[in-house]
Amino acid sequence: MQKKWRYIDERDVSASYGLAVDEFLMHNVVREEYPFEANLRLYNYADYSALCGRFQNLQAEIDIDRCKALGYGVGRRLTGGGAIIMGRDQLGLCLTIPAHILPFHTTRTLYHLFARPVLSALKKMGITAGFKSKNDLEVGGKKIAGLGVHIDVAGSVQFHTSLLVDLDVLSMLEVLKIPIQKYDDRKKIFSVNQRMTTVRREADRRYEMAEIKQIIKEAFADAFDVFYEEKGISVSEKKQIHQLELDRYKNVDWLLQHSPQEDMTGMSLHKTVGGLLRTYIGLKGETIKSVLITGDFIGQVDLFRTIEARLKWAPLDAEFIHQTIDTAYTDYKEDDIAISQEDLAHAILLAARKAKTVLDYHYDGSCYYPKHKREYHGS
Amino acid sequence: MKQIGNYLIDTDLYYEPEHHFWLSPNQGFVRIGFNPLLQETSGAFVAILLDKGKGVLPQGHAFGSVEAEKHVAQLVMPISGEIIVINEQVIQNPRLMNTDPYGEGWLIEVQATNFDQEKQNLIFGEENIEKWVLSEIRKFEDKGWIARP
Repeated sequence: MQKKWRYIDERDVSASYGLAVDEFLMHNVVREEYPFEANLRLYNYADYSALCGRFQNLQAEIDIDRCKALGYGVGRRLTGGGAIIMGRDQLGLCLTIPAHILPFHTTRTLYHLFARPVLSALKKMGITAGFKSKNDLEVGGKKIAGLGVHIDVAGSVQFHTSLLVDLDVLSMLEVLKIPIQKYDDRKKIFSVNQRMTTVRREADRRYEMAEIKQIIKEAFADAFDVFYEEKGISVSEKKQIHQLELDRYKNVDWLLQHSPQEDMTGMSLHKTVGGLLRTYIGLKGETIKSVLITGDFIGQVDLFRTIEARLKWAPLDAEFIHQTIDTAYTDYKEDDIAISQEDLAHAILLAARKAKTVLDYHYDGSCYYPKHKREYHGS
Repeated sequence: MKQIGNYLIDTDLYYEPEHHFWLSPNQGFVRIGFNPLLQETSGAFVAILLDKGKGVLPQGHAFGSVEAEKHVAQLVMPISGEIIVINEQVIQNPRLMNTDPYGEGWLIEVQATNFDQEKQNLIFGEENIEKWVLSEIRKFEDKGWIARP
């Protein structure tokens, strides 16, 4: 027999409310008397909310002062991953479901289970997407959606997707502290567009948000063989959610919580026969959070995006980095690559060494990437 | 240590099957860590928060949370007791849980309050452990989550 899911559609929510509802629903779904097997919530934030991942240091990832000046909300998610900006053109999808009804739940496989209907919805819009390394969805090597999972001690699972229906790159870069801040606007947009894409850019025609929600809703119903009852957040639920906002999502202790694992960033400049290679790295302890390989001469964009994706959340280990680069070059099947494998590995490791040794590059207030010029010339 | 499938498993320890903890009791204290099978389905651990100084926590109570590849899970006490020591090394470098799960990658040491009774729910003994690990491997292989040899 088909099970009944609750469907919730909300618009223009605040950062604290948006996050609190997801958590509230996650707790509720495992209550014995709760009349729904699961909750599917499709919503968007008001322009804009800047949200960091569960273990990130918010001040290191988001320019809080700029957010205040622009009237953007800020928040810390329960799910992991990096900082994002959410607004009217970014669709939030939150599925909350009891863990015990899932066929099996392990970290990697949950993503595939839950992302399947998202992929199928994208397909209906003419978009062939797949998994990008470490739990993003990609189209042609460019990220179109970020995924996150949280498993609660009470036995419920929260699966979250942020789908880029459209993206105003400059609004995003206003508040997220990412390494291309120093570029001019044209270069910023070019750099982001090399790595990210949107439904509007990839779909076979223009889809409005309401239509996209409907397609996703149907895809989940098909995938899990369920039907929906549409039931918004009630007044009494809103009271509890408001309390959760106060206790957690508006609470400074939660927002400014620091992860014990040190966040570090570094950048190297390395001269190669192919030109000057500028490489940024973000580390969390001994783990690579992100790598950005730039250089105006770089022709094989796909190759370098692939290496960036494969190194995301990988160990900071020289042998692993060399292997990853070698494999990517072999897979690429082109001989005429301006940058050698050795040069690229060298540049990445130099950036990492800088991140670990130059304390000025550690997060400190608004200095995610230092504005002052202290670049390391590797050779 | 015994090779079971592709894994080196310490068969002298206790195992909690749901969350894949190993437990090593020693005169009322129990050291706890993740077993090597877990990293097959978790990926690289990047962050961990562990609670200490919260008094006696019952079995099933959250004692921290961990992130691996954008997935965040709460850590659940496999036995009742008070967390006496947390592994500062693993706090600084969570990847130790992947690279040295039985050694430097341990998580906490607990002063157990009810171990004799609660150990009944744990897996112990070489034969039982081998049987359980093999069944977990088969389950992972059937689902396509780990490659068949």
